[in-house]
Amino acid sequence: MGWVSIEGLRVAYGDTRVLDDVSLRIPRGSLVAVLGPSGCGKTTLLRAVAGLLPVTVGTITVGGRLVTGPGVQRAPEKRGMGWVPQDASLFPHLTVGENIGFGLPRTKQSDDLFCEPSEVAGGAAGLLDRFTRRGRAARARPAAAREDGAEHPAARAAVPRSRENSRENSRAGRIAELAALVGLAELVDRAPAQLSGGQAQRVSLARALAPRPDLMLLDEPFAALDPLLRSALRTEVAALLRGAHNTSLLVTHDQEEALSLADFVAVMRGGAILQFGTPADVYERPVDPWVAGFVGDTVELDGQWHSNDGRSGDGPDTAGRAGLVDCVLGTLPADWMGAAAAPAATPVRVLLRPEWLILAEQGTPAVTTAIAYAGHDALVSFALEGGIVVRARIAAPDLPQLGARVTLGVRQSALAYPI
Amino acid sequence: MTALIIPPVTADAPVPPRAPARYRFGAPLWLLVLAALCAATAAIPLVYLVVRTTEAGLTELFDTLVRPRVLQLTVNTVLLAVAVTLSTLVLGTIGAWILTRIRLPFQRTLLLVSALPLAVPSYLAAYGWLVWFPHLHGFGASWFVMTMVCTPYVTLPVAAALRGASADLESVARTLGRGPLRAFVAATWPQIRPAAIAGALLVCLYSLSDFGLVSMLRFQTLTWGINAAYGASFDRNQAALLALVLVVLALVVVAGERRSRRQVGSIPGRSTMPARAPGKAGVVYVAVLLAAPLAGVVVPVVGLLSRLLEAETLRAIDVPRLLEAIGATLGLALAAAVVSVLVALPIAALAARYRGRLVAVIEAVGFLGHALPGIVVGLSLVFFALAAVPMFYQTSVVLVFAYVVLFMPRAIGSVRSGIAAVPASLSDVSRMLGLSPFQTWLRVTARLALPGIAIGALLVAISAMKELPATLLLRPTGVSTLATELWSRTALFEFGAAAPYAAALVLVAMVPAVLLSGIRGTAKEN
Repeated sequence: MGWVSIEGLRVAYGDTRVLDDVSLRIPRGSLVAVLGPSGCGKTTLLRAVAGLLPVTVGTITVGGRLVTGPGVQRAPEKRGMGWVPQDASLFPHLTVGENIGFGLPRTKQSDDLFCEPSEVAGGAAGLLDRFTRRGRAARARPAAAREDGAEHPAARAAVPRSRENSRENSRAGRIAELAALVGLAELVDRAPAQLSGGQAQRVSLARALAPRPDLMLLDEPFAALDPLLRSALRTEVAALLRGAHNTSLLVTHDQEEALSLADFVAVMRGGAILQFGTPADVYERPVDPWVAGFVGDTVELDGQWHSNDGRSGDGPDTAGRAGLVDCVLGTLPADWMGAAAAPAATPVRVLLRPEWLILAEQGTPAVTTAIAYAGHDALVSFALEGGIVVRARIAAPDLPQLGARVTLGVRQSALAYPI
Repeated sequence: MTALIIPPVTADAPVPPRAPARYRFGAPLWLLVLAALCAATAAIPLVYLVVRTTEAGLTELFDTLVRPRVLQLTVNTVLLAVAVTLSTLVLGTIGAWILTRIRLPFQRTLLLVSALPLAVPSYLAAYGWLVWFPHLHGFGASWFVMTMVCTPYVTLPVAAALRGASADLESVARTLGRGPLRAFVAATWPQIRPAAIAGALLVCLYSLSDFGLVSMLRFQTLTWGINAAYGASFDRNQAALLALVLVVLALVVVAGERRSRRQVGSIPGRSTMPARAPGKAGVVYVAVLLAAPLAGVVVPVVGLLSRLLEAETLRAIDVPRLLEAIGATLGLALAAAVVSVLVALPIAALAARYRGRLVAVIEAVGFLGHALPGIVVGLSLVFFALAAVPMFYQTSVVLVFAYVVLFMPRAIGSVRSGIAAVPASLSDVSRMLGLSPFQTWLRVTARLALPGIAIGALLVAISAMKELPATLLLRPTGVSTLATELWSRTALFEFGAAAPYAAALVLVAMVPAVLLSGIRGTAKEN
C-alpha cells in the first residue's frame, strides 16, 4: 500500500550523484519525515518529487498517477502537490489573504481554462467539477473515498463538505476557512512584512493547503524559527495536517522533530535511505551505529557475542537474533543487528541508549564523575573500572551526588552490531 | 575501549545555509534561444563593421592604416585618453581620500556635489567653456575639460573602496616606521587599486569614444576623423577603417577593465580610519574636492545661463523649433527605453537565474554596446541599413536601434539585479500552486522586479537624450534633437542660439533623473 510511491530515484548533477537509487512508499494520510544531515540529498529528494528539478532515473507515482518516469516529467504546476518552503516565501506584493488564495482559480472562466477537456464533463458532476479547483479535487477525491472510505470515515465526510464549499463557489470562503484553520482569521488584510516568522509559516501552510493537494511537501518548515516557537508550531502543524487527512512528506535535519511528528521516518545519508520505519523502530532498533548516533544519544562499548543457547526469541521479530553479550557492564541480554547470523565469541560493538542505564541494587560498580543537569533529568557520567566512562540519563529525583559510588544496571536488551 | 558518542546533530544545531537564489540546472532552451537572439542584435554593428572593412581587401586596409593622417588621428586619440586617464586617476584618488579620511563639514553634500559632473554631457561642458573663452581649442583645452567631466568615475569607486578598506594595515605600517604617505602607498593603495584602475579604465573608454567635446574644442581624434570622413562622402571606406581602429582600442580597454574588476578582494579589519580634523589645510582640501564640480558643472552652467538670459537670445528663441526638438528628444528616448528593456529582459532573466559558459557569453555579447563608441555604432548602422534594410535608412527605426545597442547594457544591469533580488523560492511556490512558467513570470517575478525594470528604462532614456554622435549620423532628415541642435549651433559659434537648447536638454534630462531617485527611494523602503 503506497499512496505515493518513489522507485529507484536517481538525481545527478553532472557526475555527482546526489540521490542514488532512493525508494520510498508513503501510505495515504500519513506524515513521513526524511531525516538526514545537511547535504545528504533530502531537499533534492523533495524537489525531485515536486518536479522542480529533473530526475535522471526512477519513477514517482501519486495516487496511481505517474508524475515522473521514463519519458514523463510532469510540470510542477500539474502535479497537484502543496509546497511549504523553509523561509515561508510569501509573495511580498500580496496580502495574507491573497497569498492564501494564490493557487485558487480567480474566476469561473479561468477555472475552465485550467480544466482539461475530459474533466469538463457534462451533467451535474461536470458542473460541480468546474467550480472546484481545476478538477484536481474531482480527480483525487472520489477515488479516495472509494479506496479509503472504510478506514477513514472522516475522509468520506470531507467529500460532501468540500462540495458544499464549491457549490458556494467561494474562493473568498476557502481563503477565510484556511485563515481560520491556521488561526490567522483577523490578519487576512495584512502585508506579509507585518507578520512574525511563525505567522508567516502558517500562512505558507494555508496557501499550500488551499488547492487541496494530493501530497504536501514541507522543506524544513520550522528551521528558520526560534526554538521555543518551533516546538509549539510543529505540533500544531502536524495536528493540522493529520486533521485534514493530508499525505505529507517532511524534510528535516532535526531528529527530535522527525521522531515526535512523523508516522514514519526515513533516515538519509549520502543520497541513500539507510532506514525506513516508525519513530520507535528507528530509535530503538537503528540499523547501524551511525543511524543510532544520528537519531539520539548513545553509549557505545566493545563486547563479545554469545550465541543464544537456552533462551528462545521473545517474539517472531527477534527469533534467532536474541543472545548475550559480554562487556564492561557485565553479561547483558542483547539483540544481534547484523545481516548474517553471528557466530559465537565474535567481537561486537555494543550499543545502548543512556536512558536504558539505571541505578540498580545489583550491577556494575561505578563512580559519578559529572552531571549535566537539564531540570527534568540529567545526563550523568559514570566512571567504571578501568577508567571507562558511560553516560546515563537519570530522572531528576534519583540523581546521585557527584563522586558517589553507585551500581549500574541495564533495563533493556542491548544492541550488538558487527564491527 | 569505550566510546561516548555525542550525536552529530541535535535540536539546536545551526540552520543550514539557505539555497542560493539561482537554479542549479540548465536554463530552458526557449529562454536560451530568445536571449541569444536579443544579444545577437547587439553584435550587428560590430560584425557588420568588420565585414565591411575587410571587404575592401587586406592590402588596401593596411595601406590606409599607415597613412600619416590615420596615424596622426590615432596618436591624438591615445594621447588624450592616456593624459585624461592619468589626471583623473590622481585627482580622483586624492578627492576620494579627502572625502573618506578628513572630517569636513557637510560630508554627504560634498559627496553628492563631487558626483555632479556625471550628469553633464561632455559636449555641454565644452559648450559652457566656449561661452566664456570662445578661442579655447586643441589638446590642452580638451584634456582639461575632459578631466573635469570624468573625475567622478574615479572618485566615487575609490571613495567606496576606501570606506571598505581595512585601516588597521595602515596603522600597523605607521607603527613600523613608515611616514604617512609611504604607509598609504604600502598598506592602503593595494586595497583600493582595483577600484581605482577600474574607474580609470572607464575614463579611458569614455575619452576614447567621446565625440562632442573634442569636435567642439577642435582637437582631431579618431571620432572627429570618422565624422569628417563620413561627411566627405567620397571616402566612406576610410571612415569605416578609422571606426575599426577605434573599436580595437576600446575593446582593449574594456578587456582590461573586466580583468581589474575581478581582482577586487577584501581584507578583514576595521574599515573606518579615525577621520582627521582638517585644521588649517581645510580650505585646500575643499578646493581640491570642488575643482571638478566647479570646472565641470558650475562654469558651464553659469555660462549657459548668462547667454540664455541675454535679451538678444531670449528674443531670438525659435519656440516652435525648440518644442519640436524637445518632442523629438522625448519620443526617441521613450522608444529607446521601451525597446531596450524588452530586448534586455530575456538576457537579464537568463543571467540572473542561471550560470554556465553559454549564459556568460550571451550576457557578454549583450554588454558589447558598452565598449562601442556611439559614432562607431552610428556609422556601422548607416552601412548596415543601406545594405540590408534600405527602407529603414534615415528613419527613427535605425536610430532607436542604435540607442538599443548602445544602452542595452544599462538596462541589462538593472533589470538583472531586479530579477536576482526576487527569491527563486517564490517562483517555486508559484509553480507548485498551479501557475505555468509564463504566468509565474508575469504575476511574481516581473511584478516584483518592476522597480529594477523601471530603473533600467529610465537609465536608457537619460542616456539616449544625451547621445550625440550616433544621433547626428542616423537622425531622419529634418528631425533634430536637443543634442544635435546644440552641437550644430556651437559648431557655427552661435553660442547664444545654442543656449535655449542646452538649457532645455538639462531640464528634460532631469525628468527621468527625478523619477529615478523616486523609484530608488521606494525600492529601498520595500
